[in-house]
Amino acid sequence: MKKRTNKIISFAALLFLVSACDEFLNVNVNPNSTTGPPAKTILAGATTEIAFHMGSDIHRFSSEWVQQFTGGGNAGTQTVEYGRYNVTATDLNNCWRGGVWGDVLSDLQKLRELTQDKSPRYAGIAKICQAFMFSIAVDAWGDIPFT
Amino acid sequence: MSVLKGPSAAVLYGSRAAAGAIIITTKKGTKGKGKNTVNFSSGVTFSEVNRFPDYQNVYGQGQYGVFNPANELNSWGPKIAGQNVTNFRGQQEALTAYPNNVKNLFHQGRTFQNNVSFSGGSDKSTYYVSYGNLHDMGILPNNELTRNNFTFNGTTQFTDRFRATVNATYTNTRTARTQQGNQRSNPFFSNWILPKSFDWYNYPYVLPDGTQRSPGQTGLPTATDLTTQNTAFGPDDNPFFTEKFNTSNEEVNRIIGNISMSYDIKPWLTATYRIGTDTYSQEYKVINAKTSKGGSAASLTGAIQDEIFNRSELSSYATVTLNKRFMDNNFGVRAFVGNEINQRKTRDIGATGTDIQIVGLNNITNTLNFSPFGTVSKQRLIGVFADISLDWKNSIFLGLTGRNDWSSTFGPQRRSYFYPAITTSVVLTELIPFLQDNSVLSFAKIRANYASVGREAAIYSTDTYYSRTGPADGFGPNILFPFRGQLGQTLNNTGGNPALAPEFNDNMEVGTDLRFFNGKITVDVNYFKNNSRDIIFAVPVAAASGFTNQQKNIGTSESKGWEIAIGATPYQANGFRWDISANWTKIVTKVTSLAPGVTQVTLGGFTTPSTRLIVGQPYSTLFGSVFQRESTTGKLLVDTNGRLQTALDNQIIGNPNPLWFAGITNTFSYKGFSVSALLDIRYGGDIYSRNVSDIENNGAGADTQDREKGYIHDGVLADGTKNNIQIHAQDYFKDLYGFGRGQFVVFDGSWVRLRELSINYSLPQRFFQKTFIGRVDIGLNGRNLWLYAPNTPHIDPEVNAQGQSNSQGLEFNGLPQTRTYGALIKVTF
Repeated sequence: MKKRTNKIISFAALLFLVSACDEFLNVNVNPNSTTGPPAKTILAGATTEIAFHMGSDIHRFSSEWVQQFTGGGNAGTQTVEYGRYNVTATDLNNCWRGGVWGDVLSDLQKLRELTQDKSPRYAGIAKICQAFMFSIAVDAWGDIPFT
Repeated sequence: MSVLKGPSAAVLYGSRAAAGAIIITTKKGTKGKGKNTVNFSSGVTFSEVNRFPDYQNVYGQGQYGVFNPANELNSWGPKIAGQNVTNFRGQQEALTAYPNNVKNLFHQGRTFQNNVSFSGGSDKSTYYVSYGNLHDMGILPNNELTRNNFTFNGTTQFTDRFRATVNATYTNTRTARTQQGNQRSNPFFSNWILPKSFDWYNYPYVLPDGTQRSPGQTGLPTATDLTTQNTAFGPDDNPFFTEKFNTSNEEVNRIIGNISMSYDIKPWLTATYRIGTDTYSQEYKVINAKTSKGGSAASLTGAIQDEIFNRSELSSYATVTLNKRFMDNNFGVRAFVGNEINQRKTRDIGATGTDIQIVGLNNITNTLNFSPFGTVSKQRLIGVFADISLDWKNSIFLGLTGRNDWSSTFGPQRRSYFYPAITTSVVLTELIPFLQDNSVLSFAKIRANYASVGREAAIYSTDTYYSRTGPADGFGPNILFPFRGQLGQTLNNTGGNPALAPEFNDNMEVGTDLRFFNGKITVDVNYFKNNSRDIIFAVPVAAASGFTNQQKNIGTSESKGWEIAIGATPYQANGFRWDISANWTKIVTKVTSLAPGVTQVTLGGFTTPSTRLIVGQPYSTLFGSVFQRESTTGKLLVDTNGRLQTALDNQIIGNPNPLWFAGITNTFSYKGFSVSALLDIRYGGDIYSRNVSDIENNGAGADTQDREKGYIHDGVLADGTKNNIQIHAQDYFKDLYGFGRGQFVVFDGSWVRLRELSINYSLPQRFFQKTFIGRVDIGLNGRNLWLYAPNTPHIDPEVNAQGQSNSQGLEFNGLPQTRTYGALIKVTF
């Protein structure tokens, strides 16, 4: 009997330890960020990003090419090279992947998904902003993926 | 201190030791009555820059032979002949060459070091107490480091079976540094190419109101005038201004300590428990003074950053060790099982304030815009491990090891992972009767090991988070949130992955350890092959997916190589002894696969150059701009103006991994004297040098001095004929080495250097026979005294702009390497 009790106790202790370990290790939730922000902070971020990108690389490349302004400095300075149509694949990649998609379109898409059912006003604003960004991207690149 | 190479170290120290471990054993006292000793040592070291660029000293500031004082870094100006010119302050001066204008920006560095320790013990316990003090003044003004450390170690044998050890080290380090990096407050961002007709010592570096000014500086009322208000001629900070007012101060308080208890259950069975911590608090204050030009948001307005970073690591080890020999001591067993629990916590809080209002008041409330930050992190690991080592007559050894870890960095389903190791070795000189007691081959051992190690992921990689947005680009403009009373958040561009699992390193090695003539010659040869699999990295994915990158377990890479160490004593007689030890290492790395459809990933750097992982190429391949070439002959393609053009797409421009490296130490000793020299050799290993690019394209280098003639690029014209168009020297050098031109500023970084030279003398014992002094050693030492780097111009190739990272081979206007020489005295009482 005593042996059995011992067995049960040690088995229970083992179970407790295993579950305690799981508890001990469940600390991988980042306390510095959120996975579910409110719609209004996403919208504020996305609209500011749109405004910023209107003055960033897309604007630098195109305004130089239509000679609204020109890059100053010696050969090799980025803005001088852009003016010579010397825009590298990396420059364009940064602009397309990080800027247009990463900063703006993906946030607006998330905003649409989050608010479509609950507060369609946000989804509507997001669609309009997306359409605007798509129009800019189409102006810059021609055909682009839509989905 | 001992070094455990490779993953075999991992069983005890877990995945954090996947690349090997350095074990530092603190000093202890010795048991026994009356064995109290006092050690005192004191040393001084001087340091200076070990290599300066070769400058021309004939042509002054300007371009195409015309003098230009303002906003001009080029030395393509007129021949310096004492002619009168108007300088950047509107004053007349005679154009003069200053050959040492760069060298004089440095001064001699000095380091003073004092240590005192007391140690001793009774028949039951030992103690060791030490205090050390270091004061280091760097080669730039206002660069200092002060360190004070206290160490205590005590052991006590409580009963025959139970003993305990306490170790504690407290260190306080204060540093003051000048700003570094790719920014205008770095005093050597452009001063390596200071025009040869310019000397900062000739002009004031600060105005009476504590500010500085440059001609044409934006944000100031007058634009381009050359007035006596100017303290800098160009867009960068005056070096004396930045050294004095743009400060970066840090104070670290660190405690490393552990308590260990051992109990001998049986003479051959011991249980040990150890709990230890490594905790430090790092406080920073970084100031960009008002009118300083460094940083982006802080340019001209100034910025103050206060930051406190705390990290604490707690680790607990419980082990039971069995050590027994059976069968008339022929068969030995050493085994242990154990458990490790480890926790790492960090906290980083601070605030940046920009737009300093009162010059010289460096409190953060003296700024107009604040941006606070605060992050915490926590990571935990549990490991259980077992190891059994068997030996037969101390001649055949077999070791089996297994470890299972549970890491908090993975999701609950993936957090448990197991990794084994097996080690075998045979001492041939014991086992084979024919080889026993052989005077030529006195010892021979062969070994073969296999080990696998799992590694944790970076914390918080299993989920995707939204964080505060802050629109910015590489040109400097940015928007700080909160913006107009709103908080803005953005979905992170790198997607998390709940299915993330550990990455593994599988290491195989075979080796031999041979000793000849009773140890007069030793040879240690090792071949290893290391395969990394399931490497975690942020795989680039189609942007239209909503992410730019996604965390995945996907890459594989391989490294293999040879390590050979030879030791010999060629001569030993009449008190004279000569020892040589040499090692040679060759490591070949290769990225074998990334993700499907992904052939390269950027590790670090810029648009050009960058360091990348490219499938089929060595680790950290250099990638950058190349020139347009004629497609059939591969010759440089020259345009109708006689100029070169860069190709649209960047390409591989170098491999920063050396083909092999070697070290040779020669030690000569005679009675109390010993002289030791370490020669360090690296063969291969490319380096991209921004410094060389700057020196050549701005006409500061000695090789640009021959400029009265026309230059012709060695290439072909569009019609395939040999180029014959003469261009100006300035255009020629700008074409080849100009900003953003990668190809010709990559150099083979091979070197031979005298890494260390030391002379030591132990004073004869008879001097102190009747005094309380036990022993006196005096020594002279030097490091980096001589360098031969035939294929790298202007700089010491042993630099890395990217600090402690896996990305290597880029140099970006960094501070130079130094050579040091000093003296040391050690006294034992």
